[in-house]
Amino acid sequence: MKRKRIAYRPVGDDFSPMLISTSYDMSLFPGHTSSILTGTTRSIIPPARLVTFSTLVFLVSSATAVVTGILVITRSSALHSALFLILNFLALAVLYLSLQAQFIAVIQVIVYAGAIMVLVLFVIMLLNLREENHRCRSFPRRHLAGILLGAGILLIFVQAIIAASVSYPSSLARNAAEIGTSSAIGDLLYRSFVFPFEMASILLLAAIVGAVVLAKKRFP
Amino acid sequence: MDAVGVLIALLKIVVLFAVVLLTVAELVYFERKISAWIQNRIGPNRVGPAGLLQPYADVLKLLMKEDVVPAAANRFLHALAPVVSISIALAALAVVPIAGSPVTLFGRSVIPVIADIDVGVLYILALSSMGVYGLTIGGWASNNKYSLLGGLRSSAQMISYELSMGLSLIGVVMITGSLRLDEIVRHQAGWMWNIVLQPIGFVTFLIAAFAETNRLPFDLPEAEHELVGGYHTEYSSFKFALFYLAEYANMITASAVIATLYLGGWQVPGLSRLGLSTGAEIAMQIGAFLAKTAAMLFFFQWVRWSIPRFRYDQLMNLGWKVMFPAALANIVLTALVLLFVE
Repeated sequence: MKRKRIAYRPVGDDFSPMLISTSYDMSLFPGHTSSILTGTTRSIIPPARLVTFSTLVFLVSSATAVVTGILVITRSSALHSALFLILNFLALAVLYLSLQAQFIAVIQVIVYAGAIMVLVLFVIMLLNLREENHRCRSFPRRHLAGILLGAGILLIFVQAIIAASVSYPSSLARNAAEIGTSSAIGDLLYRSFVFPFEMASILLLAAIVGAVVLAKKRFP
Repeated sequence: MDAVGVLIALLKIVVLFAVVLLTVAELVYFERKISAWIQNRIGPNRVGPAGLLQPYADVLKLLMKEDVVPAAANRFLHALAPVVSISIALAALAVVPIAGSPVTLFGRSVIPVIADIDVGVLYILALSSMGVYGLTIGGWASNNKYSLLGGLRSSAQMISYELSMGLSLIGVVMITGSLRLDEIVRHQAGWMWNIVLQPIGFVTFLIAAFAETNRLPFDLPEAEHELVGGYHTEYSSFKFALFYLAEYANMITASAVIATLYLGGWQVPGLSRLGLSTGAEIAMQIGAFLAKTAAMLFFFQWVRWSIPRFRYDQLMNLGWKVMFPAALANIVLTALVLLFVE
């Protein structure tokens, strides 16, 4: 098997002319902005500058994601951690956007940054967790276990990413703008994957019913 | 990205911001005038002709005040909260189309919207769900129990009403078959506005919009009788002005979105029969859009001075026991009708 190495790059790099001419319809991807913003369909952007722009977006948002991710677990105040987690989710949304997955990006903001984190903030404020100055007692054994576990997970991730980048079809990259739209995702969810999708929704429904039952507290 | 494209995009953004900020100023004036009419008073009439310059005098007064920050407050978050509020309020308008066909500017056709994105409806929902952070963070950072209560109330209220808001929008999306605002407006040609096709969805969305913008009868986050001033108790000077601005900018955004989704946006019934030139048609469409938005703004203020504030438990009961089932029923009803019509 010939191992074709495709290094990671933001998907929008290889533009076919076809994509540019229709980009008015489909994406929020930074490289397309001029055509979205102005509605011009004839502006063909020189690829070299485009690469630098999308690379810049990738670098800034991934750096933000990493830095805020570290801050989430190192801050002593729960509220600060939560706020950095919101920033982290927003940076991830920008990353999705730069991969032309605008539906996923917006859902990421609605569900994680908008709904779940509001609940987390709500709970933190309700319990009024101020800077409680948790005494950071040292647990060397636990630290060791944590480091080992983290290293193992990192190894799995690296392995998975290397495996994925080998079999990464370039046709996928070319059609990324079409795959990322809401209609394409709806098509996949309700035609090709309708059974797993409905199963997941029934599972969630059961979980909701269970939560309501538990919350009622009418046990003897 | 070429220079002219960037220039046109920037121009659109600047025009939008200028229009919204100037409208906010006049909106404050009209708020006071309308409340005066409703309460049989005269209202502001001293500064400028008929009191028209009153909002500018107010802004100047606010700018010259001392900016007081409580000693125990978190200074960074205290300053961040109003900025979050105002930026989110303004950003939502970027996807609202104001006319039907592109305008020619600098020799190229320019679409009448800042960003025509595929997931426009979801973008608006995403921003409205982020809007709660300004109030919540502001309430927490002030280190004041009234502010904290206001922030808590705002998050509880917005979580409850966002659900009904999203669910009522699904009806519109089902009819149109697209999340793109431009297509939603195009689908409402003639008198087939979504307010006619989606009466239940319109009412639930409207009520949810009141709750999302924290306007009376749902202004519990700042209920001044109970919470002094809620989340902005500890805010003064320009930071307070930003919160104030954000509240009115939110109202403009909500009105523009309601006009777009339910009142036909830029559609003028029977416009194509008049046989106007393209330029005149676009002008008419922009005028129609602005008129519909203005009507909604008047409605917002009319309601504020007519209906008393809800109690907190009433608010939650309405949100979860009335609005939520109604919005769900609307989806089922729409699906059934679509099934039999097609």
